[in-house]
Amino acid sequence: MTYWTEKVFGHVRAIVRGRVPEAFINRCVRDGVRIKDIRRIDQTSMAFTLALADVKRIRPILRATDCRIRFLDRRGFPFLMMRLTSRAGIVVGCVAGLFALFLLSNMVWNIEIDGADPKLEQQIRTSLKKMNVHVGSIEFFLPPLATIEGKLAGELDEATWVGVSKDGTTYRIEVVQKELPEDKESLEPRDLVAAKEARIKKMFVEKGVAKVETDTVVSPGDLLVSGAVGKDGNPTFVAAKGEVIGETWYRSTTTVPLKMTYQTFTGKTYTKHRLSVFGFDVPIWGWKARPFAHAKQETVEKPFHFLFWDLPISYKKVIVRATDVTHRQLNEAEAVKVGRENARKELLSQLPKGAKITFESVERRAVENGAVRLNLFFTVEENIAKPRPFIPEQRRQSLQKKQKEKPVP
Amino acid sequence: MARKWRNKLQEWFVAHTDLPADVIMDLPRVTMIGRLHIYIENHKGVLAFTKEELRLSMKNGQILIKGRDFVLKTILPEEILLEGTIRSVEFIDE
Repeated sequence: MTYWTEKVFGHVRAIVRGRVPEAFINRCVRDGVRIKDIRRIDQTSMAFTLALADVKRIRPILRATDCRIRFLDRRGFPFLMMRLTSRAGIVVGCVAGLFALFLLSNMVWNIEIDGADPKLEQQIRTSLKKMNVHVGSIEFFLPPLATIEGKLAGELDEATWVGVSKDGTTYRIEVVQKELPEDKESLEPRDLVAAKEARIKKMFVEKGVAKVETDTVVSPGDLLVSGAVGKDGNPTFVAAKGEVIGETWYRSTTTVPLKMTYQTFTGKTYTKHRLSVFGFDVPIWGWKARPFAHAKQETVEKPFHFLFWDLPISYKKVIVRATDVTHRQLNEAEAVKVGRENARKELLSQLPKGAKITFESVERRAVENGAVRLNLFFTVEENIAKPRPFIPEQRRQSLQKKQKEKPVP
Repeated sequence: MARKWRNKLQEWFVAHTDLPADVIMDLPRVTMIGRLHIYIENHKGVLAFTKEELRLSMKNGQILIKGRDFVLKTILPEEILLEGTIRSVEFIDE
């Protein structure tokens, strides 16, 4: 029988020598000294195991029974500790070594950037450095991958797509670079035609021949600027270029609810730190279960690594953001204002750059089901020119044909 | 005379009730597991212990266990657990 208590508290093996060792044993039993595993060695001696705590108590028993004792072996936790403390250097070294290994396992060792030219790569490295992502940084303190990705995508104009992934201690950043079209002159002959129905307001023709006049109404596909320059009989063909500002018309419908409930963040946050061990969350800091009455929370989890293993321990940061529920009650006039604003924004987002609204009116307005419904009419000035390439040979033939039909004066 | 009467009474109790004899008469209870272990309760001290022999004091006389490779695994005021290869258990009258 081995008791775990002996393992913890330590025990010693000893040899008792005397004329009658049995007397020693009987005396020990009587005095409540715990001895065990007794073995006869020879006529005058026996070996036995004694709990460390009782070592002091056997002195009087030895004296009484006229025996002598010799200790053989010391076992158990207290002795182990004693031995360890006497070799403190080794222990400290082992612990420090493991810690260093652990730290190095959680470090960024390499950042690979794929698909970027040297200039962009340099730019990415600079942005990463700003986020503390560089070779040698401790991964534990770094923002999550999605955040890095988002920030990079926002900062790099030249990249269409940025993907950040992590493979062990290596961060891999894949970039799809925008092929920025060089703004070279299109040499293909082309015309400019109307993209939508409009009344022509202004024309700026850089190349080509204007075929319409201001204040004429054109329908989609109508020729605005021709790419055929020169005499009708023998024209030269160019890529027509220019801007044709036309007046266009739009109708739109919007609905604005009079009563609305929406959530806003108050700006107050509460951060909880957790150590997740085998799926159980052990709170380290931030003990409040519900710090705010209305809140949204997001969790960032960082696993610990050791060499190439993922430890079942991870650090969790829970950020609770307080929200406020706001009710908005609009009167009809306000709702109309909001609706017009919304409609304007929506319309402009669909139109090419440079478009501007010149006139706007409410054609119909009605209150139904607690919402204001608006029918709006807009007049917009925008560039309606759209390039349309043509085949020079065909154009030449059609022009010559047209000329032949003309009566010769 | 009184002692004799007490013994008689104890015997009568054992014979006519279901109480175990070792409790009433302060007799040793010996439990053996094959010939590996022997477990003795109500002993009155070790008289002799060697590799081949264990002699225990009892209320009336001694108990002598013989065998090989004896180790006293546990020894408590009333109990003993002996390990080894047991050959014989013998009761010796005073």
